[in-house]
Amino acid sequence: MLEIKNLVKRYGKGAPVLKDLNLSVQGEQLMSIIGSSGAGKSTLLRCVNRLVEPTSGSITLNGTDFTTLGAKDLRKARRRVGMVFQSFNLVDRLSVMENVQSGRLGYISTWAALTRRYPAEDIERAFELMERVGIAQYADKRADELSGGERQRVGVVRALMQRPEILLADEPTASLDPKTSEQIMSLLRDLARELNLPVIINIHNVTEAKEYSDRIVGMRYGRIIFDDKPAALDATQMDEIYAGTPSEDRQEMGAVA
Amino acid sequence: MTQTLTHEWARFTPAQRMKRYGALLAVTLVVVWALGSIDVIWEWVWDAPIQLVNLFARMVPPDPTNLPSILEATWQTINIATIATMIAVVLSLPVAYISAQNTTPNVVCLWIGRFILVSSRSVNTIIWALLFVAIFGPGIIAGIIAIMFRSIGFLGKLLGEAIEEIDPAPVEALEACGASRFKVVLYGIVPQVMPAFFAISILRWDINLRESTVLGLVGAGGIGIILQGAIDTFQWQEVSMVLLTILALVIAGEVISSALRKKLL
Repeated sequence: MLEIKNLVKRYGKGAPVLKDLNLSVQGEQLMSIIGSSGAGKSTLLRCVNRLVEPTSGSITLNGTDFTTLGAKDLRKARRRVGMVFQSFNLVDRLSVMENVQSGRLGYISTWAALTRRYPAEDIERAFELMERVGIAQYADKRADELSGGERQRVGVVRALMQRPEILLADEPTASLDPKTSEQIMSLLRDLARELNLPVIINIHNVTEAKEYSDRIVGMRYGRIIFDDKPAALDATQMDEIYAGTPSEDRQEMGAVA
Repeated sequence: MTQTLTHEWARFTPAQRMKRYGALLAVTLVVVWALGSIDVIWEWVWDAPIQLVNLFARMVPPDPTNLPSILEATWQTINIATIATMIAVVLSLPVAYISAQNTTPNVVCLWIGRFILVSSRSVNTIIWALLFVAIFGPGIIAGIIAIMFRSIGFLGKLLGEAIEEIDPAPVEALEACGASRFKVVLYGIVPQVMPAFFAISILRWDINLRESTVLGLVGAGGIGIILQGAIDTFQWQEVSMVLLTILALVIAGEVISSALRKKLL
């Protein structure tokens, strides 16, 4: 279970991007976060594994408070959180297998990493997962020879190699064409069920979010203003999530206070 | 038919024009002063074409009697360049790592790295060679170390810039996997700078090949020693033989390095 409490993130001295945010994710559900650009979706996701350092608040994954960990413990804890990126973030000049195995870098020795002598069970698992998502035939190809959809599958397998307790996906389909995008979304949904894995997805495509998720969270300028089943998301709420600008939002808050 | 002019336009205002004339005058004065102060013996300058023809006549035909020792010195020159490049490549890796903004451990390391780069680059190979001939005595060792010292700055700077230009996205992904700093470098940074690494190393080898031909002038080994000896004893036909050998060597180096570049990149 992922429990986020009173999370605040402020870049420099500006207004906070995340404002006292509370969120709890449990079980094998696929949760989508929607909201306009600048709402803080990406910052929220990156705060979970501390790619972005939270200003205050706590983030607890199955009993471990991530916000208090030192550098070494943080590295160990990050192994438990898989992440998939919008631009795939593969190492182009490495082979698909090397990219996939880089998900195990937190576990294997430096010597094994250097010499590419991966443990036999890691290789076994890599092939299982690659077969599951349909990229096993590309194991020895260079990552940049693959198409966008295939590259994102490599990204998903890399994250799953960590045997994560939760999977974060930061706009995993935004660089893909509509058809491929749907394939990746249904793949994420199916994997969530097969592996008993909670999945959090940042997404711009509301239609896809409604179709594939069990739960939708709507964010607007650092706050969660909608949190319910996809069916409950209607036009009025959509307008509210996507309305306004950050400065208007600040003025409104000033009026309230 | 007269037309009344309603628009006036000039690229410069009168004040700007005066300033530009003033600048031109200042530059002219500086050039005249510089030429006057360097003590040119003009008779020798006007004499130069005659001397040129004369020298050329004394150089032709090239004298191949000493060819075996010239070729041996050429081989020594190639060795100086190659060994020095290999050592410098290895030594420049940590320097590049600490002098790239995105990989340096801290500000102190950054400045140490930059100091190494600047001090290596600001001293010419020949001056390094003079120093090391004084330390190690004349010979190939002084040459190798001189070339190496100058190369570290060049390789470190260009490689450091290549490290700064990498795509940070894969690095972020590897950090998210819980990989240690060293493994992130190994998987995220090394593959990205590999092409630049080879290109820079080959380029430096090519430069070093040319630089090591003059090292002998200060006694640091290689073909330069024979050249120096031939000039000192007015063996102009041998001088031309040495120059032809150097030309062939440089062309060969060019061919080899461009072939390597094609093969590796």
